[in-house]
Amino acid sequence: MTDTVFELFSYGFFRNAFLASLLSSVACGIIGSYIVARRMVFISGGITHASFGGIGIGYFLGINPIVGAVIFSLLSAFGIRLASQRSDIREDSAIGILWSLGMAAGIIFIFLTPGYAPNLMNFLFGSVLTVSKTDLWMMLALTVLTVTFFSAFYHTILFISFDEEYARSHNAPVELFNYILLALVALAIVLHIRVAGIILVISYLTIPQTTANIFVSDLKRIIFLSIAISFIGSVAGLLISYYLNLPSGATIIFVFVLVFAIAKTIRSISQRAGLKRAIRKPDLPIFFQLPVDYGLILSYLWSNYLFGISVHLIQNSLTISCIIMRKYLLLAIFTALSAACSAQMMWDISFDHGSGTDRIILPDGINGLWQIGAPSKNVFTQANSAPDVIVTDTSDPYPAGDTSSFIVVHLAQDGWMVNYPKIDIGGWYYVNSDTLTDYGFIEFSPDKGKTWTLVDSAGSGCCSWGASQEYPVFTGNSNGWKHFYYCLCTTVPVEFGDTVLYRFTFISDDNQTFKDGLMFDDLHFEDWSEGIDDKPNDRLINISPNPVSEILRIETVRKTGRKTVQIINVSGVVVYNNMDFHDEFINTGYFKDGIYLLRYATQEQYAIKKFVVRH
Amino acid sequence: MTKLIQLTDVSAGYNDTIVLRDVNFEINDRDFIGVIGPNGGGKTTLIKVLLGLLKPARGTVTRFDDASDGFIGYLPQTTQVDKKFPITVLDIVLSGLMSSRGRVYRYSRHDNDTAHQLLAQMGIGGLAHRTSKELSGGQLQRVFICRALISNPRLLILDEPNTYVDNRFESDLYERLIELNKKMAIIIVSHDVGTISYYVKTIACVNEYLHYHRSNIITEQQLADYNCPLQIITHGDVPHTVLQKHEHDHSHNHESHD
Repeated sequence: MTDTVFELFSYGFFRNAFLASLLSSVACGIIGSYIVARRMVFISGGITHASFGGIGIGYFLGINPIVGAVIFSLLSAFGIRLASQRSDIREDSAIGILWSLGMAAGIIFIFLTPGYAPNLMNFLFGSVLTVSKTDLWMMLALTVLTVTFFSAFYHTILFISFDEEYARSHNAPVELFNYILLALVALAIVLHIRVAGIILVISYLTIPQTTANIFVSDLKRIIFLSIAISFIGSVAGLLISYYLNLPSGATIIFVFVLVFAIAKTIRSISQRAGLKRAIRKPDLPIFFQLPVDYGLILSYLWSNYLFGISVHLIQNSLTISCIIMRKYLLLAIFTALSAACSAQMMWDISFDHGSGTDRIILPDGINGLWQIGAPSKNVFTQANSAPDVIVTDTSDPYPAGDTSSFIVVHLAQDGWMVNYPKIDIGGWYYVNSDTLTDYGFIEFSPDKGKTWTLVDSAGSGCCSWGASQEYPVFTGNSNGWKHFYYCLCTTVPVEFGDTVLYRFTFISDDNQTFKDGLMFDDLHFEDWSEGIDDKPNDRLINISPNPVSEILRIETVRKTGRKTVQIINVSGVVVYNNMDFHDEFINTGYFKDGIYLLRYATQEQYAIKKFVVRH
Repeated sequence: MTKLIQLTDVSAGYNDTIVLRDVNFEINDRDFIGVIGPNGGGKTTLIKVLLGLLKPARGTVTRFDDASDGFIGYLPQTTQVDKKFPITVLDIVLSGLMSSRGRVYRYSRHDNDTAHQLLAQMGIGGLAHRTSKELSGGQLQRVFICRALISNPRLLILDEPNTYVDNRFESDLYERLIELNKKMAIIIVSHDVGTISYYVKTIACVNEYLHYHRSNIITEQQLADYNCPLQIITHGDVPHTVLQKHEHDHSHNHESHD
């Protein structure tokens, strides 16, 4: 957190993010100006969401989802144009149909995909910090293509965009240019989905351009000014998100909107001053001159972003966008749809840089076999995702006569309907053990540690939507990383606020054979929910003192609403469960010495804190 | 006389509907044709066929094109463009050179000077660097006239030029058209037959069929014979007598109507 800006550039991920911001500013500055000038914001929204179908099919077929998205976005862009030109379907209706069709296809194919969809959240919300070299090369190619095309044909593009029919009367290749430009729009959208996510990508293509349009109203100037605004905004947003530890995509967009608001204020003040100086016919206040598209897009982004914060506010902003224009009622549906597709509650532990490890209880003391770190053993030399894994000792062979386990706490949202609970577990494992008497197994407990069920006996086989399980063999030699996946049936309904515990155990007999044991990486857990996600928020509470002897104090800013607190010990047993917590203190005097996990949840947010009891 | 465009047995329309039937029509150099007819009668369709925007369903369109900068200058109805589009007045005017300058052409100083001159002639010389959203409807109309003229066309087509224009500019415009007619043929579309008949040389009446009337004097009886009922014919006090009284009186003073 104390890194200076220059030190940040020593990080590869930050250099990549910086380059991505630069490239996207240029490409989006040009293409976004074109979109805003031609009032193509709605069609761009349609293309964006339709490309989600391609992402789903990409996952399903096991190809790069971006490739699927490119195909889908091009097809939908041309489809919208053809449908509105060659048939009676009006353009905005065609957009509505393809928009929702794409989203629906995406959701279905992701459900049908065996296992899970890694990085799905990145496609929905974007992550400029995780752009890869390949992404950068593709963005560079697009930027070069766009700059070349626009600088060579600027006037033709301008004239065709301004007055298609006049251009046609001059034998200009109007259709050809429209299709090329539409393809560029589609490609720009898809390549920036990696950066900004499906839900927010439209902001890169509209907000800087609209801001530029406040000051200049010539296409060429809008392009240059919006490139500058976009670049400054995204780098500023990137730095703010780094120092305040906020999601980068959303922070960048808030910076964009902030710049927009400041620009608008400056403009209206200077206009009012100008009015006093020169007595001329006053224009409408500039706010009223905003084409509907801009207001719509702002309220749309607003509502999209807020759905993660508060359902109540979403409804308000959706109502606003409905009032703005009735045909955009569709948008309300689509926003709900985009909310629905993230309602599947899942999370991953990559073990890298401590990610997700706050939900793992590692036993210490004599059975402290499971360790998180980079594997450096005889056979186990590589993580599935570098650098870290959880492994039966990071450096030495596993000992004889061991029975240690670690526990992962999964926080359920809503079970998939009360009478059909469904929870999934998947991930990667690598086993290297001597005989079949040394082996690992996984159990789960939907009832806070009262009963434990082996995942591969009674528990498995509850797959729906055609998903197929992949059974692991946690003994012998797997000769490399293998994937496993279970759909689990639970005996009790799993509902919001419930905790599903997973216990991973490795057993060794008394023969020491100096093998490496068992390791896991990139574990994935999910259950199926129908509501809006609750969000992890580490700042929700503070607990003190730690270590604690008698009284554990929980400080929170939230004073109202239902709160639940559960405390789990290292064996996965729930030692404290209060579904209606109002106090500030918990008496830990009767707890045994050891490590505990405390889960504190409100209706919308939760926090997990690890603490130690020492008497 | 030099032929510019010839339509032979042309029928045209949209989808399954034929709007124009069996049109035989030729436009010669220095013609000044007023195209009149009821709304929906096919005036705009005729223009689209002349411009090559609409392929006729039957018949042939022959253009006797030469190597001039732009063969046809065209003034569309202003309502068709997005007034808030971010484009400068200068660029709008230069777009009239689109067909002669190629796709990657950058406009020369000479082109810019020509555009500035035209704007000055239209009385809007100071607006060259404004953008379209800052203009009034009438100013934009003048910008479009400059765009139509910048290529020195052999034929100028004006579609309802009086839609957004105030009365004073309207009569100025017609006087300018008479000047321009010395260099080029002009086709002007209007349903305001009273006004244009002062200025045009001949009248084409379009109502599914085209009747070419080789004079600017037309009586109500003739209109009825051509099956050309006009909805707006009440320009002036007594339209049909006004129509008959005025012959090629181009210097006619219009003040009585202002």
